[in-house]
Formats: sequence, structure tokens, C-alpha cells
Amino acid sequence: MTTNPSQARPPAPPTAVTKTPEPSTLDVSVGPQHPGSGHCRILIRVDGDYIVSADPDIGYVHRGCEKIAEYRNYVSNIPHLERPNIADAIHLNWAYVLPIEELQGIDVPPRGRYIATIAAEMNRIMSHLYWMAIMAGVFSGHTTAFMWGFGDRDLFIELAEMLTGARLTYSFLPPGGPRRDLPYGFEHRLTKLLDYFEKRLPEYDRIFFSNPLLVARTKDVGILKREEAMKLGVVGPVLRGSGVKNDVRKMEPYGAFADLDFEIPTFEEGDSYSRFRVRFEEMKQSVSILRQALQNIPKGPIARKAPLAVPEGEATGRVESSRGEIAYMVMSDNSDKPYRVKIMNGSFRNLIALPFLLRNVHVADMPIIYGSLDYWPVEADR
Amino acid sequence: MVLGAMYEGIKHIFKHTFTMKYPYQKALLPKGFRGRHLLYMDKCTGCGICAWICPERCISMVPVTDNKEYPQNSEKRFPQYWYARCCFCHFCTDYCPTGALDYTPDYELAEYDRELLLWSPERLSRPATNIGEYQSSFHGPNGSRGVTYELVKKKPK
Repeated sequence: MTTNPSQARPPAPPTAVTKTPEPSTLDVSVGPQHPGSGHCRILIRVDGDYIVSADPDIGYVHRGCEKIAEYRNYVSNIPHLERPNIADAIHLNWAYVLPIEELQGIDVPPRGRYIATIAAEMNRIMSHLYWMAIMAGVFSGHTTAFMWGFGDRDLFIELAEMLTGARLTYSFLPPGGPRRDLPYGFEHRLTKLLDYFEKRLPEYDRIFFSNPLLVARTKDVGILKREEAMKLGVVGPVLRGSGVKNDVRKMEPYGAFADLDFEIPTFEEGDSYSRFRVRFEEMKQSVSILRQALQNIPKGPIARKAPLAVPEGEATGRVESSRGEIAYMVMSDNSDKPYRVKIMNGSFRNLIALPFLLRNVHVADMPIIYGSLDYWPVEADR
Repeated sequence: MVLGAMYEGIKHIFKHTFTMKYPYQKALLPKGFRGRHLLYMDKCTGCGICAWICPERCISMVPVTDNKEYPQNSEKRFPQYWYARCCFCHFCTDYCPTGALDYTPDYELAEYDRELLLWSPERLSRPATNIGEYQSSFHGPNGSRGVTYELVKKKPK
């Protein structure tokens, strides 16, 4: 039986993987259903046990957040513009609200800025514990880190529930200031929790971060040099793991970060282990920030009266989230709905480093390298 | 190093567990937990700001056919919630100008039938069941809401 040439299937469009087929290599598709890769497919070309090249294929959870934002009013946008990253909802909410407040000319009272800072730093610890549980613990086969990370994260979630009324998607910062003041007994409970958590951090270090089994799997794996990292434009803990002191909280202080004293942990090596260590040290810094914020919190009003419409203009808000820098650009046309909202986030920028890191490495190192980037597919796809 | 990690693991064998046996044990909810809504029908004026602010468009203003008189709401129009869409952001509660909506600690809202997720104004005004130590009418520790806003002025034609 002869095949009709007109019915033959056209060749697949060339991608980075299919461009240069070589003998002795094999193309493998990791995901999108694979529990390790999340809602993202990574096409890898393997030669024996080594990965020759990798091509991340994203877009499976694209929801069109930017377009939906043009059909909702400014306050209604908050719940769905914080949905892209529910582990880090306060930072996404804050980055969206900062440009609106700038356009409206609202100066949030100091107490409101301190409350937002406390909520954001609690969220950073929660997000890093989530990363320690899933992206680091499960991917390296360390079940104890998974259990401990999720167990201790829940204590912070309970306090966030006490402050905001919801466990994960807070919608806590509408334009003008936070929705609620600190409830009775919150300072006491948070101080007790920080005392407990500071005792837990050395235990995490002994059982997980300094565990020779983890060090052997992460040391000198997926090295991203300082110059390469700056050229690729990665942000957040990935950039700081390559030795660049880059943090929006220091460069353009927002909230109450100008009054607080903290350090930016950096590591020079640029391998997966240094990216792991950066997040561990950041949790320590967040505990110190929370203690200072609880001590220095001023009295007074928490929010200003905010109009529901925004005057014409364009503004950008930058926030250091736990996955790197987030920027929301808001364009308004003097109505109650935004004309355009553009989201730039850390996950998308850090994924650019993945094809460079997955070269001439073992297949077994792929989950570790992927986990060290702390990639959140929904945030990158928006 | 390995021994240190093993020591940490063995030390925690004798500690209590994090988990709860959920249907039998329930976590204590804080004041101001954002569960389902409570409607005070004697306060609602039917202005529809809740339906305007709702991000999921789950609120619709419906007329009520009962024999009671509502002097503040002559048209008898009250919010009706479709809980299949609600995301529990409670902006409706915080932006209500008369304080007719409130938080409740009820979170077990699953139903066997899809239509039962549509909560009528009468059903919304029933008191909460999962009350426990929860205090209703949470308006912040100082008795005031955090959210304040100005209404949009209509453009002169």
C-alpha cells in the first residue's frame, strides 16, 4: 500500500531540542504530568546518562490574568492577581497595590506599612518552608524535610489566618493600607512562634542542609557563575546564590524596610548548594526582621481613605518576593478599571537559567537543579 | 555529620505529631475567620456595592417575597450568593457601607446538589452553626474596619 504524499504529516516545527539530531542521543519528555516537573514540560536530550540539552516548554497553566484585570475594578483585581502564586500571595498583592497608591498619591500610615511588612516576612518564611518541603525535600528524596517543612509552615499559616482571616489567599492589602489591625494577642503568639522557630533552624541545618547525603548531591551541581547569572538576568535567591548582592528591599526600600536592619545573604559558589543555603539564611534574616518590626511598630491609624478610581497615569511597583523581584506595571485611564496590567515575576526570569544549567549533567541531577531554582509554573505562565 | 542527622531524627521519634484527625478533631478558628457570609436583613439597603465589588461575580441582587416590611429597603432587594464561585475574599463584607454583611466560621459548605450552592438572602441570614468560641461581628480590635473608601463620582454629562 502506497501512502499519498499529500496526506503525509508535515514535519514538526524545530525547537532547541529537535534542531540538531545526532546519533546515539534520545529525546525524553519530562512532564507535564510528572509530579516532579509541575505544570511544565522539559524536553531533554540524553546521551547515555548525561543530559546534552534541555528545552523547558511552559504555558500549560496560562490563565490570562493580565487580560482579566482589564475587566475588573481595582479592588476586585486583588484576589485573582494574587492567585498566580498562592504560596507567596502577600508579595503579589503588594506589588499590585504599590503603583495604584503611587498614582492616587496615598501615603500609607507607618503602622499600616509595618503590618504589611510583618505579613510579608511571615509569607517569605512560609514560602521558603514550602520550597524546603517540596522542591528540596521531595526532589532529593528526603521525607523528613518534607514533613517538618509542612508541619512548621502550618504554624505560620495559623498566625496568618489570625491576622488576615484566610490561610493562603489573603487579599490583605487593598489600596490605602491593610484591611485589619493586629488582633489581640498576635504579638505574643508571634514572639512565641519565633522563639520556637529559631530553635528549629539548627535542627533543619543538622538533619537537612548540612546532611552529607544532601551536600554530596548538591555541591558543584548546576553551577551558575556570577557573570553568567548577571547576563541571563536571573533574580532573587538564584542571583544571590551566584554572589550578587541584589535585593529590592535594600535598593528601593518599600514598606517599613528602610527602618529595619537586616543583611542580604550571598554565596559565591553559584552551585545548587549555595542556592539552598541562601534560602536557609534568608529564613534567619526574616526572623530577625519580624522581631524588629514587632518591637518598633508605631501606634496610629493603619489605612488612609482611598478613592475607588485611579487618575490617569502609569506606575510600576517593585517588591522582593521569595522567588525574586516582582514588578507590576499599572496603566490607568481615570476610571475604576485598569487600562493595562503587566506582570513581571521571578519564576519566569529564573527559568531562563534552566537550559544553561542542564548541560552535561547526570539525569539524576535534574530534579535537584530544577528544585534549586524554586520555579513556580503558575506564576511564570500568569 | 551523618550521626548528627541521625541523632536529630531519632530525637523526634518521641515528639508529638503535627496532624489532626479532622472530622473528629477540628482546629480552633480565630476571630474574623473568613467563612461563609451572614446577612443582616434589617440593615441591608440593597445598594448593590457588594455585587459591584465581587471579583468572581457570584453575588446577584434578588427581590425577596416575604410578608415582612423593610423600611430601609423598600424594593426588598437583597444579595444572593452563588458559593460555587465565591473565593471568600470578603471584600463585600468590608466594603458594605451599612455593615449588613459579616463573617462566620462556617466553612463546610459542600452540597450533594449543585443548585443547593445558591444561597438565598433568607438562608444567608441564618445564624452560624460552627460557632464554638468564635465571636461574631468582628470589625477589628478597635471596633473599626481597616478598609475605608470613597465612592466614584459620576462624570457630568
